[in-house]
Amino acid sequence: MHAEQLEKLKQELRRGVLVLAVLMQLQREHYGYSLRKALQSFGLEIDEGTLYPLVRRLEKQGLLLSEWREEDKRKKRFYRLSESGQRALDAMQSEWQVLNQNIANIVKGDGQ
Amino acid sequence: MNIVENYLTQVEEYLASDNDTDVLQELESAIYDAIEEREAEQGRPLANAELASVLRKFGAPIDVAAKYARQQYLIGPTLFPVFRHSLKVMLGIVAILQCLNTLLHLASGEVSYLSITALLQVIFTSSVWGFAALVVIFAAVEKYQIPSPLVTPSWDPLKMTAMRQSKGDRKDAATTIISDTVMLILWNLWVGPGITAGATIGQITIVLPNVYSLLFWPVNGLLLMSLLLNAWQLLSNSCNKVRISAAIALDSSALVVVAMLLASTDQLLISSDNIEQLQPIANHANNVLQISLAVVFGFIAWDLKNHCKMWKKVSE
Repeated sequence: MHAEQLEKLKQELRRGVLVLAVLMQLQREHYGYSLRKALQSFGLEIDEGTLYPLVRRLEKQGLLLSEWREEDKRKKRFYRLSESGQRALDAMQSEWQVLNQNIANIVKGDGQ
Repeated sequence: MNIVENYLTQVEEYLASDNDTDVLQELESAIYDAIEEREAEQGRPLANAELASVLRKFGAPIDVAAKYARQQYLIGPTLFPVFRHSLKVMLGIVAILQCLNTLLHLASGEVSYLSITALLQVIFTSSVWGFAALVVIFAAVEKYQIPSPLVTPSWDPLKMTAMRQSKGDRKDAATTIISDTVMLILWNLWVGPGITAGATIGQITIVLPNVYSLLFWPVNGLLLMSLLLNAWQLLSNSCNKVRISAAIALDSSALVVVAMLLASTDQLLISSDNIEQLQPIANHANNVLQISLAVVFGFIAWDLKNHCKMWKKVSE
């Protein structure tokens, strides 16, 4: 398989878990840059061109709340989970656990 | 930092106006955060080339703006197959009608229609107008989410009536289109509305009975409808109840019309100074025309029988 095709498949897989990862991190307040750094510290690389539109979309969907604040002489937009964001996160975490188990079963089944 | 301001100005060009300021402020903040991180690593301010590499990580201005935009379609993925099919049908109908129009004008001696360029030009212009009209209609259906019977969300496999067409059906449709076109040209050359149809060759005058003039427009209408139905059949993979019903109605009407023509006792009325000598020829010509009409009647009856069989199959 072509390296580019493989990279696209990997990106598709990552895209699916990105929203979950972002919502989990935003249980604590972050601004864009600090959120990216936090995800990076867990090994999840995400470029700025993807992260910022994603958090705006989640905010438009009502899953996040935001406010502009001045920090270090610069205005920054801080995000945190809303109530519906918390409910969505809880649902997605359960779904993730089920999926994780299903994939593990498939892998185990193939191994036999 | 001009390079950053230039970048933000470029992004602003492509943003939708309703989320401009907010997005730009956030983007600016993110860019300066990234720059500060790099400067902290380097221990010095960044040069323009280094600033450029920071901006490259954010992406091209048009791509950045596109990521913030709401996904919009002119004609969305659900409607697009219907649009494509409608376009095919429209272009087919335009091409057939314009070719017919040209042939009719050529047959009546209008020299300006002789050029292939004129035909292609008129087909092109009509097609462009038709395409534009279809795009506007489908874009309106998409934008205002107008419920359309063509794109119904629910369907029942038990109620689906489309039947796959065979290659033979398509060949029949193509043959019928050719024969209908020839009939249409001859009909319009020989017959006219409200006037006595006929011709004068030397001292011989040949006149068709009045019933031909009376049926001028009905026959034209039936032939045109037949052309359109067969064009639809040619361009489609399947046949459905709507088309078969239309074909049955058309065949039935055509049988009535041909029966009326057949019922006329004299098909051709010939008048001449030498009518006694020409009478056997006149009788012969009458018989030939009568037999031709009977053959046409037979073919239409055969078509009707086939269409009724298809109707029964599709209804099962």
